[in-house]
Amino acid sequence: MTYTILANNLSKIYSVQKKRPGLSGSLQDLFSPIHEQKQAVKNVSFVIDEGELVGFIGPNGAGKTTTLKMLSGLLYPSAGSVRVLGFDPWKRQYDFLRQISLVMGQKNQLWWDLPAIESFNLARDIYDIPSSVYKKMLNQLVEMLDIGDVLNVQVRKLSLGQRMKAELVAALIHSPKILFLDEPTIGLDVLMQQSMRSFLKEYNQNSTGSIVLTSHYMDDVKELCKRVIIIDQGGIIYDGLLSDVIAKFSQHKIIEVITSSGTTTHKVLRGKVAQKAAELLKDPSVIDINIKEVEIEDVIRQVFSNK
Amino acid sequence: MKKYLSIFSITLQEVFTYRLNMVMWRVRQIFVFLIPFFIWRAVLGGGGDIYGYSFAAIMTYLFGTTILRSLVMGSRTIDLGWMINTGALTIPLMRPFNIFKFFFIRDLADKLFNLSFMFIELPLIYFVFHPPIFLQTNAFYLLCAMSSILCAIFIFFYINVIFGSLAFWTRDIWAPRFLLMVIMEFATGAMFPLDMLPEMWQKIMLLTPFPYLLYVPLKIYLGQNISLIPQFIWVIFLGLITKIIWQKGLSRYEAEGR
Repeated sequence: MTYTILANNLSKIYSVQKKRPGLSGSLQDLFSPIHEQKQAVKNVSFVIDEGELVGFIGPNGAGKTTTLKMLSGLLYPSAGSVRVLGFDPWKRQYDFLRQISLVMGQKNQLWWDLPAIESFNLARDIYDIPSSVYKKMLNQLVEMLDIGDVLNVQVRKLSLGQRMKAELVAALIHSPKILFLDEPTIGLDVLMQQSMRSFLKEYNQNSTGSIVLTSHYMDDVKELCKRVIIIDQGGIIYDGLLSDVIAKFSQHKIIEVITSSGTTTHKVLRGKVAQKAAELLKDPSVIDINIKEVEIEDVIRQVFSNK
Repeated sequence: MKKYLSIFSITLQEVFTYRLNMVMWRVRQIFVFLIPFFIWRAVLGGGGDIYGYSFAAIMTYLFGTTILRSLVMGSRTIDLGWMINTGALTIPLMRPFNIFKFFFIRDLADKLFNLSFMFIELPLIYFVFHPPIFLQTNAFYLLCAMSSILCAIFIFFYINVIFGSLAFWTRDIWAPRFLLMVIMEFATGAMFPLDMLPEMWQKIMLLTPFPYLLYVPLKIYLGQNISLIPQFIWVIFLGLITKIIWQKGLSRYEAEGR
């Protein structure tokens, strides 16, 4: 079995210049700048299989994007090793680059001054896509994303949502084996976020390629990823099924009690749920009770704030 | 090959979208010719010569550097430093093509654009100012001149990549770029022929790569100097330096801006 991505003890250390406060600090910095080593990612290891859709989640600055950049070959790891599709990403061999795609939510890959279709045509030539395959793929993606009417509009005139959709077409036109998505829904309105998610879900089901996405929107992850890798302060704190996150990190369940005067909630330890529910039901004013898991957002917020 | 043709075409399309820029840039090119023209006319227009140059000889020289300038110094690689600083370099880096070829092709597109406009502007300048022009007829000199221009194009490309690559180490790329522009304005011989300088200074200048961009190719065209060797050496030397600096710089690239 060959793995799509194999990361072993990956680390990345940036050297950052630290600014002293105030004007006098700035002057001092001119003559003797202070450099600080900042560890963005430390000893990260994981394996991703073919066709998987994995979500990297974590707060801003956790190291998600840095990890993604190392996987795609943009950043040179400070330590550790990584193999993607059997290649060393950093070498950026053509055979590797032809099989991957990187979309960054805040970076424009399309030719800004030209209609999106020109960027797609360029991609056809760069990736050597046969004309018939190209046409078929283009039609399919354009239809799925519903952007047929803006293909001939200058990219700079597109709305953010339209642009992100066009970015996805450009990124997928060569049918990459891995799609790296960095914050694909950032800045989009709720409707547009939803349509991006539906597209990614559908695309993932119909293609054999893997998708690795980072996001800090839990909705993205909840809807798209079975498996998540939770990363915080440069390290992995959880790697597994999304559905197990709650069980692992939360010892509580929520009991919702509905009475004629309204709803109250109780946070109860897992082991004591039955006992507490029975107790609550003794109250004659209770109409109904619901036993629920804690919201995943809450669990993850709690995980990050405890760190 | 097809991918590079496509890059060539899309670069030109990009240039054409900025119509006002396009026109203004051309106007600038005409001024670049007019300023030294009026200076030299004030100095030599009444007859006589300076350092062996008559007004006619100077005009031939200026006319020549104006053409060479748009061929040699037309460039899109100037954006490189900005691309590194903003992280825009990420996009071409992730594509399956040679990044040097990518930049070089974009330079060529820019040169072709410049050149096609020269065909409109030069006759215009010619009919207004009647500069005396020397047309080289010796095939050997012409061949040498073409090789020399090709070398100049490579030298300029490498200088641009090297200066752009500074951005891998420092944010401050504007000051070095301006310094380079100022040095180039006279060290290439764009403003005046370098053999007007004292011999000592000429020798020092010729130890730098700059005169090989305009001055030397023009001298070769005029048949006054036919040694291509120093240019070849610069092309190879700068080519090697560029590769080393690029590799070193790239490992520091942080693909910033997310």
